Amino acid sequence: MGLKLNINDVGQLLNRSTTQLDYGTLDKLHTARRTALQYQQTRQPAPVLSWLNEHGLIHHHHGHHGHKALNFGMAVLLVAVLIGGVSYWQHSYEHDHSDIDIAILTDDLPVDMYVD
Amino acid sequence: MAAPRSATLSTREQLSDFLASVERRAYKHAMFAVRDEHVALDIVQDAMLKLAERYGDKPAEEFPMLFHRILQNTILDHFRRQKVRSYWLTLFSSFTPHYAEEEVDPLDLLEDTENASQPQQPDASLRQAQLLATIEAALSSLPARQREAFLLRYWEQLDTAETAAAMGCSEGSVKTHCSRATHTLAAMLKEKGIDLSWDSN
Repeated sequence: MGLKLNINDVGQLLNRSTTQLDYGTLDKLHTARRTALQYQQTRQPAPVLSWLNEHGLIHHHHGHHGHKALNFGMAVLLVAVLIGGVSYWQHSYEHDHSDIDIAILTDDLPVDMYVD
Repeated sequence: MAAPRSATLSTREQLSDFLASVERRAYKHAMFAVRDEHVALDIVQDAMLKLAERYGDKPAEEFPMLFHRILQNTILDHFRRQKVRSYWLTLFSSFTPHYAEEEVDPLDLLEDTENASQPQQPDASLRQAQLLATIEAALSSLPARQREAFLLRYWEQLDTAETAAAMGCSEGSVKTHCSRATHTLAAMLKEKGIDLSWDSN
């Protein structure tokens, strides 16, 4: 042939060859792509976050700042739940004690208090 | 190759765009390796599915490297399965008569020389088609790893580190494979009167 060819021309020639694929092959490739997209793995948010998002309780910020704000919000929520839990447990504990005190004073202790 | 922390996860459109941009070249990659249209299509489909299923939520910048790694592994899997299949076929074929091989329809071998439904190509297109066929034949005859390295570097335009990650080997190996592939290709093409040049660095 008597041709001079640079190595980068090989890539261009191969690119050109991809434009010459027959219709049947292109159709099958297109079908393969559509099928693959149906199986795309996407990271779904947790149901609680989805609910908060749907009700506009989470404000989306792009980048790292938004992520930090969300983490801070979640931390605050967790602390609030913990404090609530502890105070409820303390309240019910005190309530139980006052019930026992009244029962002792009125000499009306239930039988299960004597059972170990 | 770790993605930067700020990289955003890809959307369905990004994956679709990537697959659309790479599907034809992926098919050619598979064709160079297996030389069978149906098998090549199956391999590309498998590779696309695996990428979407397992790495569909990765940042779009990681898709090329991941996809080529998956594609090459799928091609390797095909050869492994073929090896096992041919082993069992050879084993069982020694117990069966060979009538099926002799059943060739002579009509299948006739050439339809009078079919003028395809227009004749102009000279330039014909020369380009011949050149392309020569290059493709040379590429097909390269050892698998050399061809893989050559195509990823000079066709997919991946850099040495990305090629190494896609091939699962060191950057030094990529350079060696590329160098050998280029020299072998140049020698093959020279026999056909084509002078292949490249930068030595």
